[in-house]
Amino acid sequence: MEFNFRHNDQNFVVTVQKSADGQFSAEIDGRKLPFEYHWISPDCLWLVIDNVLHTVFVSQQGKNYEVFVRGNHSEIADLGSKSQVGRTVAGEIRKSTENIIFAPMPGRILKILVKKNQPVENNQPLFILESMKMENEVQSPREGKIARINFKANDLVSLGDPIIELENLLEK
Amino acid sequence: MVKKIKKILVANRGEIALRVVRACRELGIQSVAIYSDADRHALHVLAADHAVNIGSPEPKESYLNIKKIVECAKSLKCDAIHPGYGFLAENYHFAQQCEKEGLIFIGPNSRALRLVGDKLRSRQIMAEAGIPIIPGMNSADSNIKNLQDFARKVGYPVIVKASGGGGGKGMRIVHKPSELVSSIEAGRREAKSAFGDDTVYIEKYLEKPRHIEFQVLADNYGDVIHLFERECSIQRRYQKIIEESPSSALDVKLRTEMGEIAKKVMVISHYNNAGTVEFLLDTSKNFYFLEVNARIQVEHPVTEMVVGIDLVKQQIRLAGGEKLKLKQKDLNQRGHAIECRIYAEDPENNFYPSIGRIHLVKEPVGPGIRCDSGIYSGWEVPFHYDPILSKLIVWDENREGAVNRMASALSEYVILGIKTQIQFLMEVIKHPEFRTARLHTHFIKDHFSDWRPKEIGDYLPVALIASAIIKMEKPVGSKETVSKSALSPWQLFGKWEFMSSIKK
Repeated sequence: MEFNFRHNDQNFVVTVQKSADGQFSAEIDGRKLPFEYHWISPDCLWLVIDNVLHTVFVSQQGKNYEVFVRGNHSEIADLGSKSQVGRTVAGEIRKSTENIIFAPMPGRILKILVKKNQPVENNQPLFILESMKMENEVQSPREGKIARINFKANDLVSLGDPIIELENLLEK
Repeated sequence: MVKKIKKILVANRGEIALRVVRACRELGIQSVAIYSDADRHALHVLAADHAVNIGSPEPKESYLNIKKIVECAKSLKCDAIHPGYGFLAENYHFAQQCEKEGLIFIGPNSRALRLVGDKLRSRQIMAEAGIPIIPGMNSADSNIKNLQDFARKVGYPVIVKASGGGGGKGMRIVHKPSELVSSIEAGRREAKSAFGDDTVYIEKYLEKPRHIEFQVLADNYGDVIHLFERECSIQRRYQKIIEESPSSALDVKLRTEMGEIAKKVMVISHYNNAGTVEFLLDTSKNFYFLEVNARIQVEHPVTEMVVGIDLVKQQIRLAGGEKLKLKQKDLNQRGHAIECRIYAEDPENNFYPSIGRIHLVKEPVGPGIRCDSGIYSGWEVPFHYDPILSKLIVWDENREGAVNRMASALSEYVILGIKTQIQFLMEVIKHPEFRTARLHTHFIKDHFSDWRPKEIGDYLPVALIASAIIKMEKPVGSKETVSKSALSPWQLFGKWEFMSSIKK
């Protein structure tokens, strides 16, 4: 069986085989790894890979898996069958892109520090978002000009709301 | 006069509310939890004997609403209110209101609370009594020019502090004159929203100091003891993240000297109940009085582990009018304890708060491990309050053992669904400078300013194979939304049946 996963913007193919005597083995990047496993509970997997024991905790949200093993966290996205590889994975949190600055957390806008049409520099503070009683300053990801401001001070915003839109500075 | 306390209203939420509820239960005292609309399913509500909805999620409508809380305590015939830390814990109006209504405020009397809460006045009084203080302004000032002049006089760096506050709120370190005005503005805004008081003052900022504080207990009859020190030098964004006791920076002589000064500070303030006297210790081992924290503190467990005293129970007994039974000469420190604060913060995203549903929690257990927690699998972390989720505390015979035990316990602490800074804490604990106890309050800034979460590396194949197994075969009960439907892991066990792998 072949599985396509994505972790940190990198795609991985995991091929799992079961031999005639019931032994499992996985192939990842040309490495062959024999393994065996039992489910301890719906969230907990006892997994022996190459004779090394791991207790693995898992949480599945749709096509995203969160895997914990000995203090290490990782997020693995299931890309499904081959034809789907490269498609955006559902449920991925929107990060601020080139042109839109999203709210990095839910909270209340305390202060917008810029005005429409104002030129801004890379890392210039754009707005202050209060969440969990702390002020968080959100900075511009690049140089540009403020094209739109979609919220005002005191507005409650959700994670991923587009707060400010940037456009390129006109070149002269 | 000793009054038998029969019922306590816990005016707080999260892990500290739970801590107080448990202390009540052990003392045979009934507990009343209050909760905002956002905390209907919070653990402290589930644990108490009674629970009362107190209003909307905004703190000023609920956990900061003095009138509602006092009315609630009276209507449920409580004898006392425990304020926990944060919220109303250091609000003297609240303590006064309790006193007026015949309720015992489990904390200092309102006059002492008012005095030590006024950071400037208490600085002045302590200076007059010969207690060493850091050079700073003697009064708050709203005139920017005066603040600028003072900063120039003592020399940069300086620190802007809220006169009404603590816990890092409203605090800003300023290195250059050009940053002063914006820092004062930000400090004022934060102070206003946290304490309702936007006055600030300026102090000289020490380079590489250690934060050392002394736990004090005082009864209502003037007897005062200290329970030694805690070192809280590991801070991020002015918030303590790792605390320990004892401090490696103190020898017997310095410890005794600072302990005596701490007691003197409390005597001068006419303080009663539990409190903490904070000091900064500079690189030449001069110490300076910083402030009194007039409450039970987040980091109180490290003292409990090392001294063997339950501080919350002591608070309740002292508030009921019992005399201190402990004598200074009988107290000593045994072994070493460390606490890590677990915050709902995303280290990959600038340590921004991480909010959402916790899919799975598995807390570490074992010898010398204590977890004071307010979370459970399936609970949704609200964004209205402090991001603290829990505190992991370990004890061992010595510091080296405690450091190793903490590293091991952190590696077993599973929280899935939201982000925490557990991995960051693990790396701080393992840092050679931490292991050798070369600590100061700029430790994180100096050693971890360009820190990035490390790649999963060797464990990636494990995670990938685990993912393949999830796809191949899901255990019974593990629908896609398994944790969404589950309030607790043990509820799931009813539905769960063991499935051997596809071997058969």
